[in-house]
Amino acid sequence: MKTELTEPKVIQKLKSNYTKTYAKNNIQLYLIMSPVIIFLFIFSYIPMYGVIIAFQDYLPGMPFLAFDGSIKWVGLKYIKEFMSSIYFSRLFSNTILLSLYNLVFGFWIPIVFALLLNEIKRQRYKKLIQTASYMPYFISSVVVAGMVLSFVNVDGIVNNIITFFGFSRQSFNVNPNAFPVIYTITNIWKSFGWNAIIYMSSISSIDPTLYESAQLDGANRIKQMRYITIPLIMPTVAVLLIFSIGGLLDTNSELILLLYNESVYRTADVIGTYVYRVGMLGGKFSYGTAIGLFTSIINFLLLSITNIISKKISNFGLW
Amino acid sequence: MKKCISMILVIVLVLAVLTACDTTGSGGVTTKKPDDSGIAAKVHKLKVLGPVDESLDVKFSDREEYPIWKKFEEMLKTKNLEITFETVPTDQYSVVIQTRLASSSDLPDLVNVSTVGNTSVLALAKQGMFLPINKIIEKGDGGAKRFLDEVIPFVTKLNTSLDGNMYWITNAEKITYQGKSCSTCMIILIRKDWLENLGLSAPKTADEFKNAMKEFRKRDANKNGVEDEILALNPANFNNGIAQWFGLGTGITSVAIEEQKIVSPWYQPGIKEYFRYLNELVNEGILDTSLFGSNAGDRINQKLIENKIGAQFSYAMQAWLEPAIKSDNPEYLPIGPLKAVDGITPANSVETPNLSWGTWAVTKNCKDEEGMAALIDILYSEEYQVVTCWGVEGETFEVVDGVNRYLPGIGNKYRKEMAANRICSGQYLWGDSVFPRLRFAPMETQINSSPAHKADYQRQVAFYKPTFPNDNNAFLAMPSDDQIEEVNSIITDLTTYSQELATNLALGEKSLNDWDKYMAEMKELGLDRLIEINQVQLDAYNNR
Amino acid sequence: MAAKVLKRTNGESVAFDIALNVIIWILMLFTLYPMFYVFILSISDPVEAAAMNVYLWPKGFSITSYRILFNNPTMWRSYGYTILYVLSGTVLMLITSVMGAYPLLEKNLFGRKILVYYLIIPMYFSGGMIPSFLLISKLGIYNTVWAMILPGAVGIWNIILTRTFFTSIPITLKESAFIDGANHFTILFKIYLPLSKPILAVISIYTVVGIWNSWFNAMIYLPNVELQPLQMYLRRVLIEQSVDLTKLPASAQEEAFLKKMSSLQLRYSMIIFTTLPVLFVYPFFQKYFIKGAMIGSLKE
Repeated sequence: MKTELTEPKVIQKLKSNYTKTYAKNNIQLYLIMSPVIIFLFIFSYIPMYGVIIAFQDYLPGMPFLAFDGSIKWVGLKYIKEFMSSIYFSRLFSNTILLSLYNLVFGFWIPIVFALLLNEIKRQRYKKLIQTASYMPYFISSVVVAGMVLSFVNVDGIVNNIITFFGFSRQSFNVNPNAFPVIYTITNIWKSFGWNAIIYMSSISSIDPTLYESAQLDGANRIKQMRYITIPLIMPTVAVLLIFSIGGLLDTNSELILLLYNESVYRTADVIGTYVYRVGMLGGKFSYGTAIGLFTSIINFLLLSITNIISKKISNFGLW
Repeated sequence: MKKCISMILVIVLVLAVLTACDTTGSGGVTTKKPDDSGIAAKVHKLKVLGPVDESLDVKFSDREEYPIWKKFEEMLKTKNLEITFETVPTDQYSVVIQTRLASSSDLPDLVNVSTVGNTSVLALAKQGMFLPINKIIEKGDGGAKRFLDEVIPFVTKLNTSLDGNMYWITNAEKITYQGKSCSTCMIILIRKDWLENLGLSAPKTADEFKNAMKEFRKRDANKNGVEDEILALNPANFNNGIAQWFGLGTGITSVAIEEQKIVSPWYQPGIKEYFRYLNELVNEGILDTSLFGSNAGDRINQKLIENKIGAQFSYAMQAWLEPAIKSDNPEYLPIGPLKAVDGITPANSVETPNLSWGTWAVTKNCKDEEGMAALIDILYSEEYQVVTCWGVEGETFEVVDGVNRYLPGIGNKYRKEMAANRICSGQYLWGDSVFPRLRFAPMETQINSSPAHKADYQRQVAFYKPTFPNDNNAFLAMPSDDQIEEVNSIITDLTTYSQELATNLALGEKSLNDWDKYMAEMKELGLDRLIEINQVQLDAYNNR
Repeated sequence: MAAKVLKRTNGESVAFDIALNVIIWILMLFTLYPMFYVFILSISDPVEAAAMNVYLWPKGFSITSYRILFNNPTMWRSYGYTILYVLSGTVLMLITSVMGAYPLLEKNLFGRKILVYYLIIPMYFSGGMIPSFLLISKLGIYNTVWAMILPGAVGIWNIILTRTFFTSIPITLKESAFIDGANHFTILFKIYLPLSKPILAVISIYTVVGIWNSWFNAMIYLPNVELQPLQMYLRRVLIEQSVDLTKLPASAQEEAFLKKMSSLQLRYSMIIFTTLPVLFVYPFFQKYFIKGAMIGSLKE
């Protein structure tokens, strides 16, 4: 007799219950989300029409959208101009190379640092080291560049060291092959401590009972790191990695502008620095916006692709 | 009782705050005293927007305490002008201007748009954002018109666009020597005290210069035990003094002033010798490669302070470098132009005697064109030039041998004194910020107050030929839209190529053997086309 | 002492400890020394500081550059406003990060993918300075403190970090709460929020420092000098050369040069001055990193 009830009627009741809770769920969730949605709409989406100037000959004072001929539409002119420059491929490859070096060498350093720091048990000592590690973040790029250039100077520390080992002095700041090394090391040095903070917090929030039981099972510290710590911070690592790749066409142009000179353009001139010079030489306002749009689109595509790959491989992703 | 006291305290506090508020504030309204004649004259109210640098000792916000400001107000009063100033700190100014123009609301009548760039200002003017000055001054008493036609015609020539209108006014400087237009020059300076200490004579040729620098290094001129005496120079740009010894122009394209022709150093005869010479300097360690790059300003200053710069490129009569050096009695001697190659006359890099820079425009918001005309009549007048540049005779300057000269305590070096005494000439308060400044200076003033070796040099080189200007724009008419378009598409890549090639040739990283390839590539990038366009502009300027 | 060490660690880990400490000390040297260098430059005699002649000890002693910073009442006013901006900005940021992250946890959320794209797109595409300025003007908050507080109240990056953190909280907690009749609001505020101390601490640090160092918004939206934050004041005092010296005529060169010379040491004191408060703020937040250990106690 009961089986009669499990047929259509019950299923229908279950279904309507399900839709009711589904709806209730979503309404609640969207209510919680609403301030953020509204806020982003006002402050991010409404001004977004500004990207339109990438397709115009724009100057501050001109309207963004008008049909009376006061705007000069140029379409993809600036992007085309940029891509047909003889320096386009160099700029593009330098940008990607410098970012890749930063990624390959700089991505894992904060993670390893956080892992190592976690092994230190004495709290005071740990705090001191952590504070010391992010000090470089606060030294302004101008001062950092000044220091770095004086180190690699002909009479600087680096040369003093290598002459000690029998090599001859050289002027590193005019050596294009040295620039990526100088830039990458400086960039990593400046930011690793600060970037480690998120990993520190991730690691600290791991349930300590997991470690206790692992220790009881006979795992040493390295095994604990390998089987507990690292897997549990993987979601954070994955998200940060995806976003790093989604920022591949961005470089620390401010730092490059301070470190480079004409003789190392071959490896140091990137999209950001080129656009800066266009602006200084009196280039049109829209040029920078057009190039910015171009790099943003590519970055966004990189982000999407990386996310898809990541989900396929490891099930971690942005959504 | 307690309540009473607290009430009184509150009232006193409020009054104190109110009075404090009254005396502060960055804007001020100059009030006009009632006209003595009793007839109600038409008062012209104008709004002026400009940048101010409040970190300076002489502050615009203190202007009411300066007698020179009172004098200026008198001038404004005679024309019934009532001016409201809006000031924005210099570091924010370019951003605020952009946003202000973009919103087109709350625009002042006269605004300093130097940060916007002339091309943009012109484009905006064509859209109606700015009014033509030439039409406005027709409504004045003719003073400004006469001044522009007769006294500073170069301002009109340089700043009139192709439609015949001039959309902005500028700063103006006229330098003369012995009554004739004379250029200030930029030249290689070498350490005179080092030459003397080592018993060397001043170099007369490029080779002698190289040897002198070698001696500085070998014999440790700065006595610190290290071979670190150097020449500070950036080979990326041609305006560096040494290029001119080889007869080369001062930029990728350069105006050969005497011939009135546009040339490019890349095509000039001395170019290869120049790079060979630079390469020798690099190999000897004389040319410090760590000072390359347009961002090297700070590093150069540091070497200067450390007493390591044996020679550098600057204005012949400069006097501001020596005080910064940590040494006893450092002194720079201007030398050159030195002969470098047989058959090539060395040239001089000069700053044109008739300078026009900065941009002040009248916005479309200005309804009182007569008032604006009256203001411009004041700004472009001899009286204003005296008040702004020199001040008041007897208070800030004196006339010696028919030539104006600052009294002691007045000048760039004396800002603290000027602020303390509240005595200065107008340009320190309002010049090249809210209003343009004018300066007609005889070079005799500076020559007579410079040390003998600099003064003698300047007298010698005053009318030297050939010369190249440090800024082409002083000789070129404003470009047309098409020309701007074309130049913009050429200039970034061409400049990058030229700078990169020049630096690498100096370093020896690139070989002179591939010269034809370089020339072909530069032609590809539009070098010839740029020369042509500049020539058209030059001819246009001369035909005005 | 040695016995304790050996007891605490397994035999092989002693070598690990030593290696660890060596690496850490070398690292500390590379990160601490430059800041120390900046510090001694800032208290040296100005001429020596300009020549950058100091290495281990300051040469001469002078606090003139600090005096220039502190003597100005404007500095204290901008300090006060900065604290206002930092506090309000951080609180807003924390609230919006949590509220933006929680709904994203639900796999069945209607339009989840679109929502995520909605969040990520503004990270890559923005209209630029002028449309934002026009918006701020239209909203009527131009030249008010709200122009500093509101535009930065939502951090998409922080929302994503928070959501990632939330995924480490066992979903069983949520499910059992549902069974007990809780709705999303209760779950968010009574369960997730208390457990989020580590990520909230991180976001707080990043936000506090971010707002503390920021001047860009003030540059565009706040011409009123009275309301400007500390960094604007400091930049102004430092007179960072934005002027192209080659475009100045000879008569103006001297002034530019003198200005530059006089501000050389200020650069260093500014760094010290800006960093000091952060040194105090960070340890305060750091202790919250560990509070996440409560998860175990809530297990059924």
